[in-house]
Amino acid sequence: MKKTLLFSLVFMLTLLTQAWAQTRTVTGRVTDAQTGEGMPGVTVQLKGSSTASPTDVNGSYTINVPSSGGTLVFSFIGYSSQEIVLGASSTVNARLATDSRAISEVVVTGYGAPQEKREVTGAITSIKGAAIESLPTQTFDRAMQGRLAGVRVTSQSGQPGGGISVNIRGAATINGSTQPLYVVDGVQISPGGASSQTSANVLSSINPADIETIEVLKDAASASIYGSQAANGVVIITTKRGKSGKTRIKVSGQYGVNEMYNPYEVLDASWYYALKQEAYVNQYLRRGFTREEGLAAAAAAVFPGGVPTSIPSTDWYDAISQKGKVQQYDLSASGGDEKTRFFISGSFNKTEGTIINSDFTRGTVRANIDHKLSNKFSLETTLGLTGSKSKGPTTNVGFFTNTPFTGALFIPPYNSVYNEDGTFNKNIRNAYNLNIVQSLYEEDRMTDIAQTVSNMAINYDIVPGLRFRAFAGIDFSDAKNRNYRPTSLPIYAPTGTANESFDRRINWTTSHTLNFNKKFAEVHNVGALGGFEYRQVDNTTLSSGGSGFASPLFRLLSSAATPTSVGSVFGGYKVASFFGNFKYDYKSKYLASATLRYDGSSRFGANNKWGLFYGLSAGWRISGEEFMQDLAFVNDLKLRASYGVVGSQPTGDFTSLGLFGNGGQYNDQPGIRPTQLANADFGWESSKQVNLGLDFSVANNRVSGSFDIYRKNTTDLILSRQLPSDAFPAGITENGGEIEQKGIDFEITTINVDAGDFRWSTTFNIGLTENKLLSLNVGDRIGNTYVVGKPLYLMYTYKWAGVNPADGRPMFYDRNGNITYSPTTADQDFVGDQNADAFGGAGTTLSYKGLSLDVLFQYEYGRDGFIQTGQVLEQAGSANENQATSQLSRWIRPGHMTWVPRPYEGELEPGGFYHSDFSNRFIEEGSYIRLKQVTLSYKVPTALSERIRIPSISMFVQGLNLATFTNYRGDDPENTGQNLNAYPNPRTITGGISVEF
Amino acid sequence: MRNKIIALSILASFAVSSCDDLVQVEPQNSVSTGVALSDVNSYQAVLTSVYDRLQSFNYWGRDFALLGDALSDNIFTASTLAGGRYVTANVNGRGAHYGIWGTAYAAINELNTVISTIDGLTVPTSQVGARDQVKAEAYALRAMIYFDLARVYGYEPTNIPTTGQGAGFNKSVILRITPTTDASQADFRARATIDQVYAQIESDFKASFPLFESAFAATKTAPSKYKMNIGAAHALLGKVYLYAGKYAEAVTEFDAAMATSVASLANSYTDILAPGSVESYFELRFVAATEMAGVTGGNESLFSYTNNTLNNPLGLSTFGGQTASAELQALFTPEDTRWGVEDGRSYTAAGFTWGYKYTSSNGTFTDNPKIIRYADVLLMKAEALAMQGQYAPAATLVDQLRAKRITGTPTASPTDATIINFIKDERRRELYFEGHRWFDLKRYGEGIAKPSLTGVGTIPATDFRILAQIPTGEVQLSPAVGDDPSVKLLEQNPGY
Repeated sequence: MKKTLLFSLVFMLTLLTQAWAQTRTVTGRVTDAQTGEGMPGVTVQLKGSSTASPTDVNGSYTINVPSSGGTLVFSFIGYSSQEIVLGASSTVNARLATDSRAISEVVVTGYGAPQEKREVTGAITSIKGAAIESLPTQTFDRAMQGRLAGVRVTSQSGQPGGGISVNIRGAATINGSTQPLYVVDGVQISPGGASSQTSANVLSSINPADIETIEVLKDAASASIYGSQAANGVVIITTKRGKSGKTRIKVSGQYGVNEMYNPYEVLDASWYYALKQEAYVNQYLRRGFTREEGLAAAAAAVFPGGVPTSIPSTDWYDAISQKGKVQQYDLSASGGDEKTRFFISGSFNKTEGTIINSDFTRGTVRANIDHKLSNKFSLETTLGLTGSKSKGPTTNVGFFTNTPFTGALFIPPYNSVYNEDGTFNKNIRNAYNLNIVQSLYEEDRMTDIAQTVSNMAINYDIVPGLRFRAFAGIDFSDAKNRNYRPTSLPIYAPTGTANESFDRRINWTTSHTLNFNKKFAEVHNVGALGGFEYRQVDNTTLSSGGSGFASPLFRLLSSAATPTSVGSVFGGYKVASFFGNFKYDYKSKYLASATLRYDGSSRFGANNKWGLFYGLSAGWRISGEEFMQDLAFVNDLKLRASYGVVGSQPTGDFTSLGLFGNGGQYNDQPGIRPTQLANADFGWESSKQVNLGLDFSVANNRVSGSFDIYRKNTTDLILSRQLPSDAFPAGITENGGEIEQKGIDFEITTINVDAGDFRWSTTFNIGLTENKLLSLNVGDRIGNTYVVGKPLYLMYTYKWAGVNPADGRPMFYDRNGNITYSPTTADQDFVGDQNADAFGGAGTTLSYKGLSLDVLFQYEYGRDGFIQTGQVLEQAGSANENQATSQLSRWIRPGHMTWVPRPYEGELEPGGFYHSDFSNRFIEEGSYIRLKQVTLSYKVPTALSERIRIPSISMFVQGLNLATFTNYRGDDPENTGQNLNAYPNPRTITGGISVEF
Repeated sequence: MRNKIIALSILASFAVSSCDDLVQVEPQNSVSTGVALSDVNSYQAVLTSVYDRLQSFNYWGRDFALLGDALSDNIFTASTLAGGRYVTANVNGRGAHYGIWGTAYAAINELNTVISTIDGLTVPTSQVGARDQVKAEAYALRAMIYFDLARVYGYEPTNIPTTGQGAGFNKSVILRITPTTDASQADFRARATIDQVYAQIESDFKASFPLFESAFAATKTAPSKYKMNIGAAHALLGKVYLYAGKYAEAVTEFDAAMATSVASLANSYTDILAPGSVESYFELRFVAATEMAGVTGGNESLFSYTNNTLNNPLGLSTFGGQTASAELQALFTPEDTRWGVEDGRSYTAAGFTWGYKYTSSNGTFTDNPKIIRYADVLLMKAEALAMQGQYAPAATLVDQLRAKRITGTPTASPTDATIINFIKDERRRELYFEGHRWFDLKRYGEGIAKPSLTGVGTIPATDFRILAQIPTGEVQLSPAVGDDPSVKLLEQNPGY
């Protein structure tokens, strides 16, 4: 879109300067220096004038130039400009080489016109769509992982299409939102789950292949144009738009597999029984019985029907796992003429999970159309439609018996999945009475979503440089959730249950802006923007449930004998805003920008309905100074400073209001009661951020990057305050307290070799953060997670001291650092925190002719992670659940040094303590480096592909999550929060082909 | 362009004053406080919320109807069968006690809302009676709830110990008689004295009487046993006077209660258990389908607590462990219809004897707890007379009851001072498993002789466990008075 804007501007200028005297015509062709192919859309301009012409699809151009001669400038985004002095010849050909700086030259910072990157004064980082368009990820937020400095992307679930969390420069809040504001083609959307049954991410409505750029506004000054919604940063997504010229059609397809690559290894039935025997013997000996009595008790407990001569064993984890097929097909067409341009695309994605009977299917359609009504009026529409279906087990973390991980990891392996006659074994012993394989096949959990993020805009150019734009956009989704538990799974309900719900989200935005850009006296570059915006969000849910089904063949609610529940929930909010931005630069050397935004929100209290947010920034392009001109080594050098105050809206819609709500029932009458006290002063969390940055590009643009250091203070945190319950049964939510977040973002790209055909570049980024809670609204701590003077997200528990080599009993440290067998709550202490000290990514690209290899590593360092699944799998054979194979290193004899206690049936030795209770035995540093992506692609030489009349054919193979380097002993170091039975991220390997003509 | 920005800001500031409507969203699942109470029906709905709170299992829904018997001497809790329920309470473990603080004060805040604001409601003449009825119920319910708080967390006016940890401890509970409508009104308060709280209770009951009468005069609607009513209010005020040692006033109130047509003596003991029993002045109506369905009934109901699992007359699965103590069983003669297998009032299972007072009489797992009933009033009146030395009239009353309860010719009640102890035993026989025993023993001030099977012995009247613990979270939240941070404005009961 940026290119097209620029292009149309140039085009208009061309029209204006038709009447030139004494001219002659020059023609020629512009080709790519590397491939030799013609380049369409290159701007050919007569230096020092406004005469310009674009190249056509074949790279050819025609331009009128003065007979007196001059210089032609050939420029194209992403390529180095070339100047050729006109001679006598009327044919001038040019070969353009790629600009070593691969970073996009133009950025969109919200509402205003695209801005040259070198004039940006805030901290903004971006990804080009090309980098992620062929990745087999279902959502673009997942594709951002490891590519942007200071942007931390974590998944809590490997479910296809599932939700993930994005934190820009850390999450400095306690109860507020931690997610950035997403703006898709100008429509603000709030991330989150769209499904109550599976894990579906609202951002999955955007096909990653349709994305032109992703821009992340990190500092408060850049984000301040979004005011009260900008405290967690802003992610601006711009989808592709058409370019005039011959219609270009692109077809691509890829196919591959998803697989689990690092499952927990658990015991087989023989080893399980062996540990069980030891556990009983140890217990019986301790209680004064004999070894034989212990063995007999073990046999009776594990095999009440008698110990079989050969113990059958089932690998349940294997039974629930599958190699999921991944398919992705894309078709797009773009083109247009001088008046109308279009980009249309369609896609289909079907991704099967690594768990049986779980998948995600999505189809998208997009039509982005631009039309010029006249010289002054133009229209834009952006239509994106998505339908998706997801199906799969509950992936909520926690001890839910119907999650595949609880069901498969913990089940004693002597249970079989099927009976001899092929029916499901329902006689599952010592494992919650549920055959998880049967449950995965027979329980329905599914969500169908219809979604659109679309908009329309009218632009009116009042005078050149002054544009009025009216914009309206909608983000709409309808999710139908369905859960059905048939009578064949009697554990849930002997007669079967069904629940259905419809969630409708309507989120519309309209904005009206005036935008002014003009250069005065060739040196004063002025830009100004003013506007009004209004956003309304309505969420409604209708749900109902029923029980009593005649047979598993009857599945709809209407077949239920008894309706059991109905629900209807409404929520919503409105935001009205006035905003303005003023930019000025002098010779692109001294840069300044000021932004104001005045936001009113229905979520704020009556005394605090409107808030003023602002940002100020300035830059000094040192490389633009005269004294730098001799330093040819430095191509670009810019110092930046910014300060801004932005907000984070409360997540509750009605938190500030005094409410009467449901007051129970009595005598068949419904009651009402005061449920919430008003807090008319309630408002936003306020975040003040100062940012200092340096952008550099040296050595013929072969080394470029940026460095940012920031401090962010979040005040007026949304916190609750307990009231004496003799006065009111609930506390109130209010603003107070402060969190400080400090950090450094650094990214660097180097071109190590650029030798014509062979090119090697590397890129590296890192974000360093630390946070500290400075104060709270009342008191100095909230539980044991938030303590004033300490970092957020603390871990507080018992301290593990290992296994006593003398007798195999588990030991802990007491508060004085002495060994104890039975710690008390007073012995608990702070043992870690969940903040990553550093995170980022590193990548390298090698290309030789049409062959290229892309490698991306992603890493996190210095974060403590839970191993909650270990609390069940690492009980040294003392409980009913199956155990990790690591438990075979249990203590065996006096003097044996090991970290696994001796098996003891029931786990609790007299005078001891449960060693599987949460202690720092189950906290481990979750640092890791992951080979996130490897892509090998080959572009068939044009000369070859032209023989079958296809200008461009590329083939590729790629892999995601190919290798992970970590000391963390859980199954996936990415899932290190509350991760009991978390769905690990899969390894994905695909191959595909992409054709353009 | 600068001018434009300035102009825009000025425009914005003009716009804003009228723009608050732009950013207004009214909730739909709840209603803003300002519009919630717009008619008599909405006030009735607030009262419904209070009745709903009375139904809480930690209040009249179960504990007030049963826990007192486990804390005292009518119940032996069979720990192997009880699923952990009342196990610690039965041996009077520290802190195992009534816990109604949060529920009671939440209800009081709602009642304060009704009482403070209903006079401001303009109603058509046809609804004046309904409005008076709401206000009358609110006053009487507030009095009842304060009385329950006072007897759980404080001593009675007549029996403040003179020795031990609680010597001279005259603190009752926090008094709040205006609603909290704003966080600034949620100030921290100290506990009022026993006399102050009893004075408030008396005043509230008395305020309810003329309103009940004017409401009846206007609506001619007979009082409902399922709601607070004039008969229950008189009876409860009589009980308050009895606890306060004001025996003459108590008799007056009991007479007033008996003069109403709300309740009368049942001919058969079976009748008192039925929903809407003739004896009830006030009972809580539980609806099986909405309030006791699913696990709630099986886990929390009176039936579940007092019946052996599976081996009960209905064969239901329960968390039962509350069995009849040997001491209770010993009080009944074979002729007494209030106990015994042949009367259907008890059965044995799993080696214990179970009282069968809660029979799922109103649906599966569902019984209506009786807050106050006729026999209670009758026996309290007899006690109040006896305490004034009027032994013969007292004996007449007791005999009147026994004639209905015992087959054949019951032995006559004594007509001398020994009738006082006789009435105490008669109360125990009549009202066992209805939650009265703990409060009776507490106000007698004679200590609690626990069932021998509990192994606890006798808890003296000066023991700290006679009073329930004020919730520790509330005490911690309360500000310190003076320099010692452990001395809080909200004083904890002695010994905790």
